[in-house]
Amino acid sequence: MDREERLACARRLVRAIEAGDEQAENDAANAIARRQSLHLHEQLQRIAGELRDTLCNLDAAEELARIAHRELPDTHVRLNQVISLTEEAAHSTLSAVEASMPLADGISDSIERFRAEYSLPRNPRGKALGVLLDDIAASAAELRRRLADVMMAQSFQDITGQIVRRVAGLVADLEAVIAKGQAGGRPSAARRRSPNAGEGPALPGQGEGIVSGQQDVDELLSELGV
Amino acid sequence: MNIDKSMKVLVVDDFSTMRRIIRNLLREIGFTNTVEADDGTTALPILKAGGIDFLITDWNMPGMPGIELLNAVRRDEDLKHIPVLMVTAEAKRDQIVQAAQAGINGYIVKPFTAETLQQKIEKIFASA
Repeated sequence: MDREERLACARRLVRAIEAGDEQAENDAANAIARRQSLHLHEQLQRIAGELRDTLCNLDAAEELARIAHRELPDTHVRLNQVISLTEEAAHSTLSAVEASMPLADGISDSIERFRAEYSLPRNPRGKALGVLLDDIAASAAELRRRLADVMMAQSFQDITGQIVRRVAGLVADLEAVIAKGQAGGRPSAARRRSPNAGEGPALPGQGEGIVSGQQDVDELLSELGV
Repeated sequence: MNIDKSMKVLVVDDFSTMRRIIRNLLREIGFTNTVEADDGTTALPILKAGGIDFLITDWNMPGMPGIELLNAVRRDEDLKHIPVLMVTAEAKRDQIVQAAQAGINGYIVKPFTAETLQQKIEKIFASA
């Protein structure tokens, strides 16, 4: 209700009282009262809105706390499970590879020794035997190379394990923040980590200041005289 | 290449699978005298006890990161001569510069190949 309107209403009220006009007096008084209650109504609406938002936030906070209590501790168990399972699988594979490599080597060595000790007869049978031995030796060599590939592939467990540990760390930070918030404190900086700690494997597409591969590393190192 | 293949190598990484892979690769090249540790904190006493000729270490380890292990080695009169090769997933240029300035002899980023490991070792000991 703007100032001019209020003044107009007030003047009408005064004139009505001076004139002894009860009807006009009531009308003017009611007009003022109506405008006041509208103003009050607007204020009440705003307060009601704020209360609703606060209650919503409280609900969200409670839900967050429930999740933190119930779900997040499980998360640590699950993430550690991933690391253990991948570790076991990688070690099993490495054991199998370590047992297989000498077998492949043994085949190659046996053929080499045989060839050194015995010369094959120069007839079709001898020739066929020679071809067979060459084939077996080539296969054994190929097998050996593939086994080496299998071994190197197990390095996945290190890289994925580092990523999982990083996620576990973030979950722990989240838990700390929620716990602090619940206790009424201000969320502060999470676990203290050494500045030298390292970041773990880079995310794909994270190009800023990251080398693109071993060649990049080598170039950088030779610039630095290493 | 005249590297003394009987030299004692210490392999440090917090993941046992990676230590196993590196030790296997070293065996392929002819280095069978290898020992391992799971952190900078457990590696340092092994180094101080003496006899280690070559150190291969990861960077990101929970107790003492590789860069701090490197610094500790370079600060120690008895250890500072030991060649150090870093094998790590840490790939930021700043980190590589930091390692170079701290006195690293080689830096391999994961994932790596057997050939790369052999090449870098040969390079380190060619200039040793």
